[in-house]
Amino acid sequence: MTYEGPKSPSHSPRMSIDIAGIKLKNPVMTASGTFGYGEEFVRIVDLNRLGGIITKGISIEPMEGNSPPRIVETASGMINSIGLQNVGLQAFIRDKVPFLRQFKTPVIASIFGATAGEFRELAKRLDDVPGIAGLEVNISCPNVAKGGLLFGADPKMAHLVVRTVKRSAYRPIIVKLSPNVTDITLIAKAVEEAGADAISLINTLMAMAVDPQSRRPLLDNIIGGLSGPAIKPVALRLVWEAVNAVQIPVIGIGGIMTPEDALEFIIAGACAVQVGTANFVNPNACVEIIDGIEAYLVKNGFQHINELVGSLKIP
Amino acid sequence: MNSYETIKDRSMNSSPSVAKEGGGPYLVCGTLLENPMVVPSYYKMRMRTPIPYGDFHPGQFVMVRISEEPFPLLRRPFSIHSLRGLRTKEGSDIEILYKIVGKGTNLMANWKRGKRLDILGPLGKGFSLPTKKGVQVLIAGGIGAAGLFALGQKMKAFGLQCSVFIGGKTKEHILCVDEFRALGADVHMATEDGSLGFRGMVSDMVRSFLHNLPDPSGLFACGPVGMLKSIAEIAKSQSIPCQVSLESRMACGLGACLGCVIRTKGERPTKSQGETRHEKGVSYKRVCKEGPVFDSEEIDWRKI
Repeated sequence: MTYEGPKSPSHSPRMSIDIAGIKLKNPVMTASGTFGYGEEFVRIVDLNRLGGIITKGISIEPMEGNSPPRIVETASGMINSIGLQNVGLQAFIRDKVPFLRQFKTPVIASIFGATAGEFRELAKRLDDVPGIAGLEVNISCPNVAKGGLLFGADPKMAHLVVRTVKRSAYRPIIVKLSPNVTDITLIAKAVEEAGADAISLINTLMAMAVDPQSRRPLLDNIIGGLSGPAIKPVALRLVWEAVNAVQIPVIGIGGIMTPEDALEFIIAGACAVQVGTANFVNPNACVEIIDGIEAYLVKNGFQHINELVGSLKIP
Repeated sequence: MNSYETIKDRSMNSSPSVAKEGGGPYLVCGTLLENPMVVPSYYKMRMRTPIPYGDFHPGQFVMVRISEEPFPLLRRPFSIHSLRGLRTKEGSDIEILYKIVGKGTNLMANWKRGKRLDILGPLGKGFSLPTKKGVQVLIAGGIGAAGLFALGQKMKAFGLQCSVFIGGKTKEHILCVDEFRALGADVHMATEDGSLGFRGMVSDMVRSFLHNLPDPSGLFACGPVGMLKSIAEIAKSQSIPCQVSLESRMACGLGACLGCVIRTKGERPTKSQGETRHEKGVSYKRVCKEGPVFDSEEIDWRKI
């Protein structure tokens, strides 16, 4: 299991997909905020094997993030309130992108702005950076005071942000949606109409934990976002609803730990998946999931992953 | 050698946060050799791993996966207590000393010889050895003795003279006395209830000890935050260099999740009139990457 340098991965043609023009050798990407900027994992994971890398969310200026404690483990999951701590756009382009673009894996930059104008600025400045294949527009962070859910929970605001970004970006944009809404289909349709090339969901579910002994919240921010296997059934339901609401590709995220978990999302209609919290538990989770999906395709006689997408048998 | 070197070298250049000392981290499969209880609720687990011996530094830690099931979900971090047994380029026997505090450690206490273990490590930045000769003062509070022992071993190997202070609530929480004595260190004990050694806080014992010591070279502390804070104050008031090993809730251990950060006195980027400036202030550092060992002067002790 030790890292012995890049293997020569056999990229199976049956696993390759295309999301709005971004060519991925397989449908498994790292979810934003769970894989840093790739370099944190390079000694353990062969980054060339990944379908795609979604970077830690980037804002125009560096952000400090929230005061600790920022994480707490809960039943089959964890709650975080990181608060989008990041190095900022300039340092990202200067220090992080040159490292990431060495690999034969598309890099998708996750962007976050407190205003529509900030989103536009990020999209503009990242658009001509070599090595960035696309953008993931994060309108769903539950841990920041401005932006975040303000955009992701309101179809009109979501529409405005996505249209603004779309006008400034030639590269494909994926819009990451929040589960903390009454009707996911309204937001999904709004961002599709605004020009999103794909949507990804779900971001974390707003959550809380208390220490009964001290009667204090276990996070300094009191509230955070729940991730991990605990949220998978909720994520799957939301992905299913979104798939039925829009024509654009849907990327499934939420508690994926195993190949079987990923297959559930694909069968429900997700054209690809992102793996998040699993990277913390097993740094090699993505690679194991990729191998497991391929083994499933071979075993069950599928010539291509796309045959499986949305193949849910409804009685 | 191959493109791996290129990747590694560039990653070093692109981020100063990449661990410079030692190799790894490695994600390995190990085997449990023994897991005895040392005193009630404290266990010592020794495990055989394929991690090269030379890649470990005192103060570093490993993360052990508790379950293949979704609960308990996250790995648990443990400082490396000792390397005892196999010590080669091909592998090392790692010892961890742990206290049962929750579900994860409760499960671990039942693990038996031969169990296969999923281990990530070595992780983090460990202790820096003192450059100045003289008496090195090691201060452990409770389970903090676990990680300090590896440092004591290294100091002995380098011929450094150690005085060790071990504190706990009661005598049942005083750990590693015999191990430290076997290294030739003079060991002092303090308990809050007076059941063993000095009655009171270990930091008070250290303070009076330092008054009578002509030339203390450095303080090295691991234990509860309250104790570390007191030790940091003593170090500051007497101008003695001090390194502290911190604990934090952790998810990845690799510097990616940013969950384990602590407040440090650092440069803070601030924005004024569209320009970013760096001002002295608070900044967050990752316990898993820039730590777990920090210079005590680096920490913002006001809100910890």
